[in-house]
Amino acid sequence: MASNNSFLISADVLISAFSPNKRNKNAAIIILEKGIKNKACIVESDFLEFISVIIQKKYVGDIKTLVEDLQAVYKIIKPSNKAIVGAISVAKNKKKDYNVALLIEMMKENNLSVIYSFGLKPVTGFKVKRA
Amino acid sequence: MGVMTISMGAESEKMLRDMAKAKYGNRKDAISKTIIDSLKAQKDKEEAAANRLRLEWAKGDK
Repeated sequence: MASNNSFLISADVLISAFSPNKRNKNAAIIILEKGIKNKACIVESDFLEFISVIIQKKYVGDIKTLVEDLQAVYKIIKPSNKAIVGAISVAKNKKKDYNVALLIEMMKENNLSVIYSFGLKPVTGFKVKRA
Repeated sequence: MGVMTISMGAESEKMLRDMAKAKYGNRKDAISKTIIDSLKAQKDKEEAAANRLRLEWAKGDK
């Protein structure tokens, strides 16, 4: 279970911090620095999304070190079966994007109320922050 | 100094005792020293990882 001051970091923040593009980069680095101090969480599916983007720009050996470093500093959380079933139900009944529904379910499950993201819209039950 | 009671599985306990004996012999404080060493090593590992990540973020600035 995550600690109370912990928060979730979404894939777009991770991608922006490692991008040469200036857009959102500084804000992303501030968020990731804050995340180091708070042992912030990253949902496994967002982590995989980040890897799928970074894999196009780096050598395999570099990616291995990068993945291990991120795993050492942040908490990578896996969805439970309950969270997956809950997210499917929310996505079907309320016509929400499945990934967003899964994020909400995992935030509930891990007692998290804050997510840092550039693209997500605020959803009832949790706060979306940009930096 | 704090005093803690911890519980762990038999396998972990054996690992800890073996490690403590190999490192500090039969010293009275061998187990606590081994736990402290392990915590420090973990902290160092996390700091090294954080520093490597900071270098990666800075690379994109060039």
